[in-house]
Amino acid sequence: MAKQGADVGWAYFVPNENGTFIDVDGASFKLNAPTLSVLNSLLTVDSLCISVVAGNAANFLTLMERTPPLDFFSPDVPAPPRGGVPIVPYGTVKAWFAEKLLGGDLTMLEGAKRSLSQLSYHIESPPPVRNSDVLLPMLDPYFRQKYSGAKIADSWLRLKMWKLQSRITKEKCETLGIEYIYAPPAALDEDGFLLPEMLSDRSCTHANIAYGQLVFDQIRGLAK
Amino acid sequence: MKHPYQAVQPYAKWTASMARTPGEQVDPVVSFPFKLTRHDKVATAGSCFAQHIARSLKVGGYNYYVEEEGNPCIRDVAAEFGYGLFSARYGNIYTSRQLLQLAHRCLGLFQPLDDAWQGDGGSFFDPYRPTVQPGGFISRDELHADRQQHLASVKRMFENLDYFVFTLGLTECWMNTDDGAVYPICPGVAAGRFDSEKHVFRNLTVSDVIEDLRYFFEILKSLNPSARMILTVSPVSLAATAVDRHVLCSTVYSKSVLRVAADAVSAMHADIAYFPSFEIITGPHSRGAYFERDLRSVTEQGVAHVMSLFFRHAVRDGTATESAPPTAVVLGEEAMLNDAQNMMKIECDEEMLDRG
Repeated sequence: MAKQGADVGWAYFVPNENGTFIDVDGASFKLNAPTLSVLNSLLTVDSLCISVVAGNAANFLTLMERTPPLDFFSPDVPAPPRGGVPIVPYGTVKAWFAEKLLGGDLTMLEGAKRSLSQLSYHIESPPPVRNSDVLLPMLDPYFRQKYSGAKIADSWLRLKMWKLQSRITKEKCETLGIEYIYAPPAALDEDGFLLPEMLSDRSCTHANIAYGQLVFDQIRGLAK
Repeated sequence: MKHPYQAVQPYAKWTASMARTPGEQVDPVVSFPFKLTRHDKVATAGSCFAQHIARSLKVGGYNYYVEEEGNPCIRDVAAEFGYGLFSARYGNIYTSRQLLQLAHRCLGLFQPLDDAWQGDGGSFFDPYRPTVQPGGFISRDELHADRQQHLASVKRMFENLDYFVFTLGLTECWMNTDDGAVYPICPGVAAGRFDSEKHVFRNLTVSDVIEDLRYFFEILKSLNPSARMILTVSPVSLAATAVDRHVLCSTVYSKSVLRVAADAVSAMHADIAYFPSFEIITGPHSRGAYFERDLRSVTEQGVAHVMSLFFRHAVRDGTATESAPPTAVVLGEEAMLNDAQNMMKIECDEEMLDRG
């Protein structure tokens, strides 16, 4: 975007002296003072402010095969649970995931919205790729250290959890008045997996520059 | 010549064992045929009060046996979805008929015709445990898959438990007119729609309850010859009655039937025993102080009194004070308010009958 002349600024959350990014304000959240200071130095009243927070939560929970394995029916993914794996009802999985997201990463989204009126959009994180085999060699150090010897989880489970993350995040966006921007359809295969050519060659949980170009096109559409 | 009452034990006389005994020291158990060890697998089922027993066993370091725990990843939300409240995810089993039919269902001997209730928004509810999945199942397939693994868990539980603690709660129930399937709660209350053509009220009699329990125990023994059963009667009054009379009268009828049936069944088989938690909570020694302000829910004090006697009489390596010891029965508004504030979170579907 910057190469194409856009006035782009990236804001990272800055920890305060307690090591936290978000301040609790009664029953809600707001950005901490250091982060807000950085943002205010970048933003004008006309800035297009876009969130990309909380994109990796599903990976933290189910990129790697869990013990015992997890599976569930999903309203968003037609694949049935794997045979022999006890199911957890979707509503229960959603409650579990929502508790983690709403009390964790999505506090950043809520804090940002309460502190920045310019925040109007949230961009969905890239979906998982279908082929689990390509992921293992590219495991991020976090996963490599924490789950040495573990297997990558079933591809349909990874897609179900990513869809669930998207659903919870979208519902939160709706309560905050933030428009939810779906992953670019051109980057997805017929089932909603990320196309292999869109996967980062350095990280198994991120997409590459080609995917970024598609997202840029989406943002350009928003800017108009 | 002495008459028989001159020879009875002090506990058999009211003045000595009740009127002159401090409330918190009243002990109607006297003796109990079983001595549980910390290794014995103790499974629970029944009405709301059974959850107190389960929790106390767990806190007391006993082997509270949960066969259907759910995936460990959902531990933080498990109770909200009915996992761990009882030994399997069956929710409240209020009646003996419901228990018997559950045993039949887990053996494949009975498959109720009323398969699923469709809720608003396309969700599905299990008519035989309508509150275990708040919001419902997302599809009939999901409901069936969950039910299949639930019934398999119940069967494994019956096969592997050492003691089955069953708390009898109600005699009033609603059943399907086509096949007699009994619901835990009237259709239309927690989910589903009431249909007077399909749903009929039944108030179980003493002989009904005795036959249900006898038949159930035969099944349990066929699966697990060494299994023993401990019966209790819930001291929690009916939230509402479907009989046209005062709810107190229906409560007394219901508890009386259950109490008589429990006594009769425990007298029939050496591997069945009755534990008098009902008497401990409702007896006049507590002067009503073992009930919360709603006059139904049991206070922590009451539960502690029950469990201290359970640990004293029914376990081999337990003591009366290893869990929360009973404190003196205290009357008065302040104590009741304190108890209300500390009121335990107990899942009790029947409370829904008292709303609106």
